[in-house]
Amino acid sequence: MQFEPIIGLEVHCQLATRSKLFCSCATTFGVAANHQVCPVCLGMPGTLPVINTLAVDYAVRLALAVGAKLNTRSIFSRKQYFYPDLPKGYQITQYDQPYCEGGEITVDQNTRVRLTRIHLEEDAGKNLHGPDASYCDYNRAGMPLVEIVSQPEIGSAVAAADYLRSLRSLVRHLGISDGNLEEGSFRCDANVSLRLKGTSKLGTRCEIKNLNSFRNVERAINYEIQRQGDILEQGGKIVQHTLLFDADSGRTAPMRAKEESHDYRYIPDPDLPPLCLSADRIEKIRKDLPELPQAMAARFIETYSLPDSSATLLTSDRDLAAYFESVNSKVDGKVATKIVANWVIGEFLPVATELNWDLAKPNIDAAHLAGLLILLGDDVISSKIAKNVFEEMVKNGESAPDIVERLGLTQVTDQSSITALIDQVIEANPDQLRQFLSGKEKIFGFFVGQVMKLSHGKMNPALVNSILTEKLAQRRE
Amino acid sequence: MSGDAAGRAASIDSSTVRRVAGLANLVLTDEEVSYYQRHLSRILDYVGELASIPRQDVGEFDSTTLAFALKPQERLDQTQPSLDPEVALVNAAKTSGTTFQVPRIID
Amino acid sequence: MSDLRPFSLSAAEISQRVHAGDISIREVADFYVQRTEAYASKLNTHLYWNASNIAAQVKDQDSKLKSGLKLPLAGVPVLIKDNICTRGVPTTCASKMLENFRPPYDAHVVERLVAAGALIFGKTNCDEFAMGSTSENSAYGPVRNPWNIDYVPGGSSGGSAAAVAADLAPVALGTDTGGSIRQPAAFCGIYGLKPTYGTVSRYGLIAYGSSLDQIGPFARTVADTALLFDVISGHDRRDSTSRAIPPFQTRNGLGTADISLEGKRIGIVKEFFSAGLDEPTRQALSKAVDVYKDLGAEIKEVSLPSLKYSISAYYLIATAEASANLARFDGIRYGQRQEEAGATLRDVYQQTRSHGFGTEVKQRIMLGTFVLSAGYYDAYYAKATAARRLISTEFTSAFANVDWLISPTSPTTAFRLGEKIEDPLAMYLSDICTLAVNLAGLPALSVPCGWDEKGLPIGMQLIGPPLSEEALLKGALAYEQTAKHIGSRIPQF
Repeated sequence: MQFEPIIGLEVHCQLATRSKLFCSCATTFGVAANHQVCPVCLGMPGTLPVINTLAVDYAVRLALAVGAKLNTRSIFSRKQYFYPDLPKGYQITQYDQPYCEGGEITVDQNTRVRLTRIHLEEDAGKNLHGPDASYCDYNRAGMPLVEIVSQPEIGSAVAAADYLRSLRSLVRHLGISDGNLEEGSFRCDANVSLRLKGTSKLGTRCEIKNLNSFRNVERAINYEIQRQGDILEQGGKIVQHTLLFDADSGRTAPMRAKEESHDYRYIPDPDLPPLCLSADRIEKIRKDLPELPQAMAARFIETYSLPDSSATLLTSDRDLAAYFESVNSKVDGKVATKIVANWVIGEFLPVATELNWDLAKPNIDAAHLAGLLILLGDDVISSKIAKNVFEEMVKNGESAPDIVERLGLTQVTDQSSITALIDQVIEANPDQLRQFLSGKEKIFGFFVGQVMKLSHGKMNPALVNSILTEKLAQRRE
Repeated sequence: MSGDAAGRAASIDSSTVRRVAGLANLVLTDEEVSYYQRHLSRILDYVGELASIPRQDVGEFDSTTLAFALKPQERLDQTQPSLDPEVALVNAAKTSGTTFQVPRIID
Repeated sequence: MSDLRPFSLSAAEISQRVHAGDISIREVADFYVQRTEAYASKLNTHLYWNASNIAAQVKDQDSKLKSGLKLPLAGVPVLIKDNICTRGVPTTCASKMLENFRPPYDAHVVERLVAAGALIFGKTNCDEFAMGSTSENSAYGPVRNPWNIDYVPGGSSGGSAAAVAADLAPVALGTDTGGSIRQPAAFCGIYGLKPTYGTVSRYGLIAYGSSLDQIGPFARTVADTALLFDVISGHDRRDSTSRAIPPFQTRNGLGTADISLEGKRIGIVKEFFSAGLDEPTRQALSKAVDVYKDLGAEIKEVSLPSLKYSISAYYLIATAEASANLARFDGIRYGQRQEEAGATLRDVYQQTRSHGFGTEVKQRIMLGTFVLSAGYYDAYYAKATAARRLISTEFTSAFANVDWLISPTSPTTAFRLGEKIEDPLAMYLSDICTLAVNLAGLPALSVPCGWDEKGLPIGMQLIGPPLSEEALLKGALAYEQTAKHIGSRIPQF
């Protein structure tokens, strides 16, 4: 039998507001347990929720960016269950009347994933587990989330991860979330089922909870596809489960605690009037919508004549794109845009990734990199020296001219000094000269290398080449 | 079943009473089950009168629709100091450090 | 020494004389501390009060007064129903669940009272989590009616009502979800106002039925009712259902009230005068209507046929909301906790909740849980909200033709202690006159209008359209000045 996987994804994305969704506690990550709580987010009796207007604006921004239908009147409901991370015994979420339905995420030119809905809700707290007891920390309780639910139409683990990358890139572009997987501000649950190829009836699905990296999303889904496939091959039946992925073993296993009857007893929250979005408000948010990744990539290809791959990579992150554009404008035409792009992609990005820099405020600011590229463009330094200077910048953040000055790296373009050094090198290496004259032209590179070595790379390579060619030719005569 | 409801089916049987109590995290003795079965059945029989209301005529009602419309209110995205953790924890029966302690949860 | 005598001073007069330097805040406090010591345990009205806490408040309010502040409630003792949060002071909802709970915050109304110069004089007994009509469902014993201590004071705000009726304070706050201010006001022979939904912030009110709950005043005069209402009303950003309106100034309106009711149209609600109404209550109401006629009002009969659904709709909506509101009581963050050695998390939940909640509270939680559970929502909760809309619409139509509606507050006078507690449905039915008002979010005022043959007070209810509090208070004042019941009898207890 041939099965094909059908995957639907639910993403919980934390909105980058300063305060929580329904109270004024800060949203800073990593604060000591229960240091960011108040009577409201602790669910103390008598307290009431009041919605954060910026969280609503951000949610609307997302809805507009994915071309969804905005419901101008939506309802907050209470989803009831007992769990120690849930201070009120219910979560305030949107149920049968969410603020946003439909829409789609563009993954690449040929791939789109349709969305079922997006809704606003509050996050729960965190339980920490010890050997004999568990401990509740409510710092996260009440954090503003949007839940983005895709249609079950993704066909592979790789496609699922691609969708997630695109969605993450989108929310970062929109400035509504930092999309930080490690800190849990971008969390994914995957619904996986198999169906017979060529049929349309969906199989029983299993939900895999809290996948915390794109790699684990792929691993978990692949494992689950395999697991379900094996069961079906042997004529077994899939039992609907909520599963947890164990990254160490690479397996999924059913959750026990939350497994019992899901009867959430939803009720419209009487503490919150319906969320009404005026046409004016929606239009204002639409007007201020930032450029979306696809549009930005198209513009990079068009304006900067960059290849598709470079444009896509540079626009995969809003801060990276902004950085590139900032460097490019600061070099002021003295360096080809293509070279700027190559430097940002080939030199800057690997270092920034490795050292975990915040791309919005990287350790090498745009002006410094631009300064370096201008020195390169003006032939003050060679590209080899430029890379050394870049390494120095990474280390201590100095400007390029300062480094060049300090290390005396200015390129030598004075013909007589170059000629003198070349003469010296030729004299010092009679064997190599003989070989060259006997037709071993590759030896040319040896002479260039010697000149560069003795000059610590400061000789202008083009001039070294032409003068050396001339000098060697003279010897031949 | 209580005598006055004899001959009529109870609106709610004892297993339902137990299931509902379970959802609400209440444990009931057998006497309590029969007490609540009797009472809830009476109440549910009474509220059965609402079945005659033609729902489609009046439309869906959300609980905040009153004789007047409430204007939705939102707050600006501004932070205020959180509680001192000692104050946050002062009413808790069992704490550990600055956390609330519960029996070990099995996931 | 002051000339303070029981039942001699209203809140308005206390504030006025304190400002005039005629009496001191301390003298007022001492007088009421003595009365509390003498009678609070007998009537079981108080769940908490503390003389040294009151002394500290006297100092604070005194220094505010000396700084020249004009305080509308200068030195006025106010009692607070125990489901309203008071910072650092026990707030139990008359439940074992919250036995030792001291909220780290004040309710909005408490902040307002303190700012207005009031002394928070104690926390009053009530039905557990405000669920009841007799104040017998308290984990701390029943409240007694000062007019006859073998009778209930009504509920759920029975402690506040009984205390004001007994002059253990001139005024008090209660909460009203289905009649819990108006019915005890009627049973205790005082005024009780349930304001328009959204005019008084619910911040700090421990919720029972959130879409129905409102905080409101108890007082022995219309003027004091107005005074207290003005202080607690107005917008609060911490309550999303609070209306963006300034505090009311009904008291100013009353000062210039022309008690003539020429041109006023008063509706008699036919459905509230049908079967089940006690004869003394019917007669008292009939006399009261005559008073209004004599004052020049036009009396019309009004019919609101959907009122017959109000008990069903109320109990479904209130309990559905309550089942969610009371889910937070799990013993983890606050409140009592039952945990035996080796207990699992589920054991803690179940033992804590089973032990912490009383019989009636559990019953309402289960009813609400059942009607929201899978497969029943449409048959019960959705139908109840449809009924609510019908009732609301009928009130709106009625107010196109009349200025306010009149009904008894309760079909009967106070019940004997223990009389109805075993029959929940009979108890629920006695709330027939008050429930619909909460479903429609309207303001309503219970006005004392006589006594039955046992000497138990009778109340009449005035219901108005949204935000008509001032008109209702004026209507009540016209009656008060004409009928002259107030002070004509004093409860003996």
